Amino acid sequence: MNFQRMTQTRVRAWLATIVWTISAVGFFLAYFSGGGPSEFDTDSRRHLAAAAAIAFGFAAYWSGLWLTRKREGQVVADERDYQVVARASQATLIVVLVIVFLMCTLLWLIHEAEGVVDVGWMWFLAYGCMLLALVTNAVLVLVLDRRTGGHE
Amino acid sequence: MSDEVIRSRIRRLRFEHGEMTQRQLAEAAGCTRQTIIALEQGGYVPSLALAFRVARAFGLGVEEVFEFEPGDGD
Repeated sequence: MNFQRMTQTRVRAWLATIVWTISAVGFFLAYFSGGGPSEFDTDSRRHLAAAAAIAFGFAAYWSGLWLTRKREGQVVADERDYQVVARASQATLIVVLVIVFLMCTLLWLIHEAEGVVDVGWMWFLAYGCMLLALVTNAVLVLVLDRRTGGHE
Repeated sequence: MSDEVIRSRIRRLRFEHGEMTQRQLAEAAGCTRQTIIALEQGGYVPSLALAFRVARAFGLGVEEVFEFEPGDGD
């Protein structure tokens, strides 16, 4: 894998895939460790660990954006890149909508008899969806970029 | 409409123009080298503007660089 020969779009998609996957794994480990969702909202150590995983994601991703910034006179992206990114964003929206719908339906089915859902699941839905959208979008950019024939 | 195909002669034209590299053509056409690769492999259909820019880089008209094959329904 030669990053020097890739477009900025593809390099940034790889960056986002790696960074946000690490961040998501960190968040899920912090969220599901210990007492699980029911005790997450009162466990400040796990809160901190989850926040650190997400903060790592933003810091690493923004650093990566700066490192892959446009240099003088360089064509870093063109119409094919914009098309790939637009199609990936459309597909990401559908994937996230479907997964949020399924998650909410599953929570309802599991907790229907009790009549209440643990408030700790709201953290999972909120941050989980954000991380899911970021990872899905990056992966779809890589897939669509490859499918439009930009590989050597 | 799905049977329609747009083929390009970019690879041959590059060699006919002094072994022009993909990077040189990309710079002349204002796109990335990966898009030139995609055009050569037929994996990407360019916009009209990009097609004109590629053709101009060779000093040719669009139809001398890109070939349109109508589908069965046309």
